Amino acid sequence: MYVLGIDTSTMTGGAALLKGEELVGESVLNIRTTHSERLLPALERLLADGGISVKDLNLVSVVTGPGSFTGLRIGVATAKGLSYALNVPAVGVTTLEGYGWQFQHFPGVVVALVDARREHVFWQAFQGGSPINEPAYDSLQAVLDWCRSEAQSEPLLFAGDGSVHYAEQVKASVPAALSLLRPSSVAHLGYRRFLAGEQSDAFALNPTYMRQTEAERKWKERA
Amino acid sequence: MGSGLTLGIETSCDETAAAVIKDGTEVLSNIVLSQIDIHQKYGGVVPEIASRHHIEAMFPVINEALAEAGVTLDDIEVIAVAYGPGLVGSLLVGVAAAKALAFATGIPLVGVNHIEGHIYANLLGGQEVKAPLVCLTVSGGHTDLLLIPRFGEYEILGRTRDDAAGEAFDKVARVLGLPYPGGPQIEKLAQGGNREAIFFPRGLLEKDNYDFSFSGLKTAALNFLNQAKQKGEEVHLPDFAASFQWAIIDVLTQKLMLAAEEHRVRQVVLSGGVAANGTFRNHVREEAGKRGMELLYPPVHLCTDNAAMIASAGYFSYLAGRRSDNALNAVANLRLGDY
Ligand SMILES: [Zn+2]
Repeated sequence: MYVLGIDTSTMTGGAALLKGEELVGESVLNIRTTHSERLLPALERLLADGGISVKDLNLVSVVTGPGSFTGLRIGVATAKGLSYALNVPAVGVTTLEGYGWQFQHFPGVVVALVDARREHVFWQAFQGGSPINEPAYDSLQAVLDWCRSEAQSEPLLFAGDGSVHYAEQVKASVPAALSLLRPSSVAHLGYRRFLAGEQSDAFALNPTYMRQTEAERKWKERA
Repeated sequence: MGSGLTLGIETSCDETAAAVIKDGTEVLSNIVLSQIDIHQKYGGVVPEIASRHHIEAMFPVINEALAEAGVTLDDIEVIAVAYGPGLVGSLLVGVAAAKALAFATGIPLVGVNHIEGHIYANLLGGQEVKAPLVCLTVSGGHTDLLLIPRFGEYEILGRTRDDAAGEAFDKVARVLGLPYPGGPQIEKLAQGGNREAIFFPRGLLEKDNYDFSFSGLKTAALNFLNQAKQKGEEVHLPDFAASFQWAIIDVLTQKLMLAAEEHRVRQVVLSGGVAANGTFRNHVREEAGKRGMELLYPPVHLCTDNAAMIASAGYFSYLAGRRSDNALNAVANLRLGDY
């Protein structure tokens, strides 16, 4: 069982390949080149280095969001295309769930923060890999207030690009390099979900924006 | 021998489209999902909303195109995708989908210039088209004169140095208080007008020059309206519109004929929005006829954005040996001649 993990939600990201639970290889880049130009070349190298044919892939796990809208669509469109052409299932994983899974062994509360600019974040809190609240879009201050009232007795760990961007305010974050979502985490979590009976395909799998477009918001304000 | 089947994918603006064609000319399926209704309330295409609809519609549309053609992905010989010009977020959905399909199947991929696609729409209407031919693409964003020595290749003979012809129509129409797009409005206004009433300048009409310039004409037309207003004179609008339109048509036709004669072609092709102008078409048909040439333009339903035209351009490009690799990116301002 070969599982491909894809993350294109931020400037970093890339692809990882698992054979069952075992990591075959992973490619993460933090560069300005677009995912459109680097995702498939990275996948091609991974497959070649691992001695695996693309036709051997059995499952595609992809980050659906939140994150850069354009980036997400590149990853999701690629996952859809692979799923459709190879006739294999696809599984969507949110960025936040990816962090919750990646830091599941932390003995306290993991607060995943995805930067949404202007001191706002998409966020969700996890304990032992399981969510303890719903994903939400809030001001950073609202998240910190929540932490003070709901999780004050627990050790706290902030993860995600939001924790890097707002490092001064959140303090208890992991070092930036460790805070990146790893495509292998996306692959692992997707594989677990698939084993639990969850799966999607090229038609049903879609991005999780967690925000309406500005045009829609403005139009509703006027209406 | 391959199957000759091309899967075309097009997402450059607000239409999600996929098509299957055979041998570059025979349309087996042509699925176009338009978002016009969605964007109407915003008064124009909202790029982020367009992209969100593209990603949801892309695979249902591809699946329908294959099903309607009665083929599967395995039967396809080439995948062709429009990678520019257009809205970058929209283009990226089609490009990522096409690349993933090609990568997973090993089917060759060809990136197609959307404007080139419009030219190949001429090959899909059942009319007999033979290269070499000379093609004039005229729209709000383009005025390009091309030589197609054989299908899959082209050479730019000339292009506008400033405004596109359609842009000149739009600007003058706006000053007259006419709605967008301005071309059809001016054409309607010009009916019954005398095209010789006012003489407007023609740019770059010297021989051996296939470039265009419409900014001088546009300025002259706007000045004419301004001066009349200052003097309190009433402009006879049909005469004005007919003369203005005639100045554009005259230049376009003269250059097209000059190029067609130099390259000894039997057929000339019009594409782009301005090619829908009946006065323009009739004049070109007449001038071409005098020289023993035939005028071609695409059937109406293939004049708007579709994936069959992308598949056609891509198929001939593929036969000419072009391939795109899996690092292909969307290029919002892709020009003809850029690869
Ligand atoms: Zn077009």
